Amino acid sequence: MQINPIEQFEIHNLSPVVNVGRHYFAFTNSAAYMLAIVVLVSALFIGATARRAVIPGRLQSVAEMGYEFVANTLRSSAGNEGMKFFPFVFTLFMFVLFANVIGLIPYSFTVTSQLIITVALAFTVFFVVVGYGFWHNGLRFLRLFVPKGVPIYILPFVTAIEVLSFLSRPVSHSVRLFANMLAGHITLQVFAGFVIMLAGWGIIGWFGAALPLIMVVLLTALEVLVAVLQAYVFAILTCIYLNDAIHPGH
Amino acid sequence: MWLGKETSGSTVRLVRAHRIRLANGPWRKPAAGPYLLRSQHVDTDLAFLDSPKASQYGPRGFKGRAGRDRRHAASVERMSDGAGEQGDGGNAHTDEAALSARLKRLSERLARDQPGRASNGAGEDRAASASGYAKGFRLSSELVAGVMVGGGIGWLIDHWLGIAPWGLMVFLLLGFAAGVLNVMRSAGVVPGRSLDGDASRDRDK
Repeated sequence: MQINPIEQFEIHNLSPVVNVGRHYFAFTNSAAYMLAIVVLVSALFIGATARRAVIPGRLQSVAEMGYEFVANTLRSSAGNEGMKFFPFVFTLFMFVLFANVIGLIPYSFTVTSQLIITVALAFTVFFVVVGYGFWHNGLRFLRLFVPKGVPIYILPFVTAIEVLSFLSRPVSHSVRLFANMLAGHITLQVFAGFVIMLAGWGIIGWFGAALPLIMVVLLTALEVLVAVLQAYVFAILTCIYLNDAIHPGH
Repeated sequence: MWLGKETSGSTVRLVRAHRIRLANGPWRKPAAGPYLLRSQHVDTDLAFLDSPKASQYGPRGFKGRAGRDRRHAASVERMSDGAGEQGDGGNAHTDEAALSARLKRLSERLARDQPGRASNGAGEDRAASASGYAKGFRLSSELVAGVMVGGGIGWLIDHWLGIAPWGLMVFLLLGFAAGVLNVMRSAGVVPGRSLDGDASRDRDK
């Protein structure tokens, strides 16, 4: 039996392709999952806030915990001024979290394992940071790239390195999430493939298959951790970058 | 093992340090290594170890410790029955007591100046670096991102200005430096971009 560990990342068209000029649009499985994520997150929070009780119910507790978690993260890394970006960070966090967790359901599609999605998210953050940085600070934003207390003769190099370091942020920001999800899902699939292949060998194979099966169970637990952790890391990096836009070099 | 190996002036203190731990808590076998490493797990006790009268040693204004530590000192006297010959170098003791006190002051100052580093394990930082796997991924992606961006910009400059291969060479190296800077910032080795001691915020970059 052939098992292709990459097959799970294939994109299928769910609708006829619409041709607009030289571009082709179709409703794909990726788009369907993104829509599902947005609907789920919206339903959760609209449902949770519909009946606002002093003593929160289960749903309301979830919503409040989510709010407080993101708000604390944002306050601790970008200060109270950062709270104006709360809707942005919260949306990003919830989207990535739901995409990662839904991707762990067998046979489902992981939106964040597509590089284009994470790059789009990271560039959104990047342009928000640059745009708000210049709008809020004007040209003082450029002081971010000029460290204080550096001798004048190496300042050009240091500034160039700082600029490159700043430009590499969206790359590492997106690749980290993408690579984590991709690697985790491929690893799971490969080990699950071992189980099926070994089980085809009869009695001995069944005993052999127990080992990768245990591995798959353990890896699944690890993947749950990674899914939540990466959503958190994505959010906190966003907060840290926003902090630079709000207080560049102080 | 200890007495047999080291016969310098500090031996006596080592033996005692180790016996204090024996008296006050569970015995921990000291790791092999330089002297300071060995004594790290008894660091709070070091300042008075050399003598029950701690006030003669240590930094200015160090009047010795009262109460609890006096008791410790007494126990030192009791426990270190055989090893307590004072004659072998009071000078070295003084220097080391002063040194340990200075190290302690230094670490206190560092903790005050860089609160993020002191509260290393607190809250979100611990969560963000919960697994070594995640940490490795984070650091490697930082380095790769720096090199990739540097190489990409260099290639574009070559492409536009037709000065190949100079743009690629220069910017690949600069990108590598930026990648290393990213990694060091990410690991919290160097303070972040905000330059007024606000290291805690940028640690997790």
